[in-house]
Amino acid sequence: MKTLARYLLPALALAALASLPTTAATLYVATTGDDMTADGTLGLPYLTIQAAYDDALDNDTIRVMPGTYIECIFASVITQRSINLEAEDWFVNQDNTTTIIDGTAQCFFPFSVVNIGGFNSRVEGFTITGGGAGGIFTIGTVTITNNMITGNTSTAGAGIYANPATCYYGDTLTQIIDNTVVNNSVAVQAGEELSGRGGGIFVRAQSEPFISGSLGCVGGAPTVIIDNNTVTDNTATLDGGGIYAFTNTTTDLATAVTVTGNLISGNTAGLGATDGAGGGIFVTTFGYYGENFTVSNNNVAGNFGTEGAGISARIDSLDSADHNVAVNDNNITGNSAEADGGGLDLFLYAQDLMAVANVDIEAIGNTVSGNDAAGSNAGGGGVLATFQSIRSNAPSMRLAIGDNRIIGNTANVIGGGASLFASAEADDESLPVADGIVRPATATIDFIGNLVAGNTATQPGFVGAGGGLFNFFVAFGEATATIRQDFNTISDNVADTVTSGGVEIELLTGFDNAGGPEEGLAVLEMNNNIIDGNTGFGVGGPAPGGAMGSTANIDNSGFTYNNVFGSGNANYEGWFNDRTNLQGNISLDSLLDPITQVPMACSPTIDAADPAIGVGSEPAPNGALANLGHTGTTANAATSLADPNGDNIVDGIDVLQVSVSFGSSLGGVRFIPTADQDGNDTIDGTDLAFVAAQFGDTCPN
Amino acid sequence: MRFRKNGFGALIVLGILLTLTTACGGGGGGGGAVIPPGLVAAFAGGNPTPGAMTINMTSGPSNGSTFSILVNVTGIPDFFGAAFRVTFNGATASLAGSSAAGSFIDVGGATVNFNAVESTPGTVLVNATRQGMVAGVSPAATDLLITLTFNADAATGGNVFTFGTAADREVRTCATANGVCPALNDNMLTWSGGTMVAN
Repeated sequence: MKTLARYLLPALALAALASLPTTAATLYVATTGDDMTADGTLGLPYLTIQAAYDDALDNDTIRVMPGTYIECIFASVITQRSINLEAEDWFVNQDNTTTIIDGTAQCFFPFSVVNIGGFNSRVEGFTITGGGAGGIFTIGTVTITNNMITGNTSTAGAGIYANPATCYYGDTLTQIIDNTVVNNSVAVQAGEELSGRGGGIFVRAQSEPFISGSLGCVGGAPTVIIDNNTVTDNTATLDGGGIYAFTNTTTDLATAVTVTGNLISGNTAGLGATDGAGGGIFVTTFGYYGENFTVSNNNVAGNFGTEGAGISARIDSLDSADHNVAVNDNNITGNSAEADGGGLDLFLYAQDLMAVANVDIEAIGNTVSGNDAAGSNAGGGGVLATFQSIRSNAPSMRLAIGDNRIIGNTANVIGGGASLFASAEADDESLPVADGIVRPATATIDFIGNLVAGNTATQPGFVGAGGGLFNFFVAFGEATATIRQDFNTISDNVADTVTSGGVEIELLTGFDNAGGPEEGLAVLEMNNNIIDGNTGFGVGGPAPGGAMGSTANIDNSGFTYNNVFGSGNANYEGWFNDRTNLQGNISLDSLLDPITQVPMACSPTIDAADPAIGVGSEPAPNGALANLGHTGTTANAATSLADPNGDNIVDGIDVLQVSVSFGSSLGGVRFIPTADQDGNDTIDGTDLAFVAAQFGDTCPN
Repeated sequence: MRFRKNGFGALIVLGILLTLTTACGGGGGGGGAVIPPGLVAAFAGGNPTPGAMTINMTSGPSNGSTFSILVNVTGIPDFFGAAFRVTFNGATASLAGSSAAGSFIDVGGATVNFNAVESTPGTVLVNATRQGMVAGVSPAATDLLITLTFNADAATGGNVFTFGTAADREVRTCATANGVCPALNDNMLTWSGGTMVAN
């Protein structure tokens, strides 16, 4: 055994040559090796990875030849050494299936098959399997890349468990990149914190403070990157079938976790009678300071869970929290929730937030399609979004859902496309007895620029409501719950014919537990939307004070510049009152393209938005007015008819008006404002081109 | 039903611009109609001696089933341009083309803008105008504005060609290069069409 030689000789040498640089060594391991005679060369390799690791020095590389190694690698626990653990066949043939570390009957709780730490360690190119307490456990700054991690079990993080342990390592970077994490499972362990979570990957991202006089606790902030992995067919008894990650800050050092570009499919959260959220991905914040999650560009498909079958993203905030969660540009499709939130579950909980707090959760640019929610509680076949504010009205609280495509999702009862719950309580209604603390509260959900089409909120045996959207307000005491819905297209959704196939509105308001004199207020703002071709009512819901048994206190005067048309029953349910031709609202055929649901030329929704709103990025000619619906104010908006004289036909008169004012500018005597099709205050070739390109085009009057 | 313009729109626009800024623009097809052999068409204007403030149609060259209509301007000072529709029975005639050759409005080398498109059978959208910060031009007496060429597609004892309704036409005059260019009140103008016969 060369262990003594490798430790003693370098030690002696270092004593004499302390100032000379050392060279990292490569130690070889092979199934033909012998730990007793090994010197780490190819000619005399080690038999076990553990023996090589024990002999390795800081920054050494252990290169493992193909074969099966039945052992556990105890390469960490708060080690200072950085080691690269590499499978030879990966580097030669890009094959990570031929070098297997099998922990079957070798690795027992709490040790995984590979336990590795350090300031810059790496594990690359292995198949890691058979772990009874997980496949890989990392601590410190570690990169896990190009591995196949399969067939492991544990109580948390059966495939990979990443614990940056910043107390010992300071700032850390954990990278989990290009791995295949498949068919691992976790189960609840009684008394173990957070067990039953993270079937594939578990991330424990805590920033920890320097503790003066403590045993080496230097403190630091963790950064975790989970990128381009394939995470499939993993299971968790509780949350996070594929990935579970949480952040927790007890210091002002911020954490950052990025989950991007992964394929997450066929994972399950919540096995048997146990509830679990985030079948594909579960992320949540816990702490008091800066915590940042980015979940973007993932393909999340065919996962199962009790809630948030695709992705469940949550903010749990108190005090001075600065939490930001972004779920953007993901493809979330074909996921199935036993209860609510078939595709995406967003939850923002804010309690007693200070004014300086900043909590922000957003879902932008996602495609949420073909998901389903089978529950009868909150629904949300595509999206379930909940903002629960308790005694909090910090100005920087936000739950925003924008520019998503929410298509073809199904809920058994409510919210085929999305269910939005805005809840504000000046007192904590969850307490059975008032605690005497009452503060103003607000909760606002922004739902802007989304396409909500072809969703269903009715199944046999149920009376479904809100085929497109289901809005629910809770406001108690000095509290305001607000849902803002601007520039959405809500079309071709289906609910029970006696309810609203388009947008359902329900509320619950009342006085707080402390008996305050002020009743909560629900505020609905809907502007510049297209609500077209839905079954039942376009917009409606049970009359306030009716089905929900509440005191009526809703402000829905902010319903302007919408087009509600083609509803199966009536465009507006009785209590909501018909808003047609009031406050800019119209009821005309939107002329939506049946495939894209974008208004076609001549749609009355073109240039029909609130004049107070600019055209944004709409291409010219845009009539200097924005379009309604999800493409309004965007570069994808349909152009206006280039019709300076406004008679709905582009003809010679329009050309004449452009020609006679050609070359003039705003304020000039020949300037004709309507001839300025591109709105640049000059009549020029562009304006003439717009008219010429549409010469002869016409729209019906 | 028209769809949004796509990236090809710019190229199409350029192509149309080039067409518009040349002396000859527009043009429509014959619709593929089978013209009876030996069909001979003739057009006759309804107002051979127009007075001032008149736009009228007169007969131009013809060849078998093809005939031309000259659209003329008489006594409109500082004429800048006109837009109008020519309406007729589309079952027996169709637009074959148009020509700006000989038009009086390109005096002084001004940029001009001609267009003629049969938007629906029996309706031709026309404009003939100067362009930009220039003054109008007064016709000497009766001057040619634009020539429209049609095909007779079937025999007819009388296909009436008109300038459409007041809402569909406009004439503007510009006294100076930088001054205002009002649209003339249609009541001040006389619009005279004609009749085509084909046998």
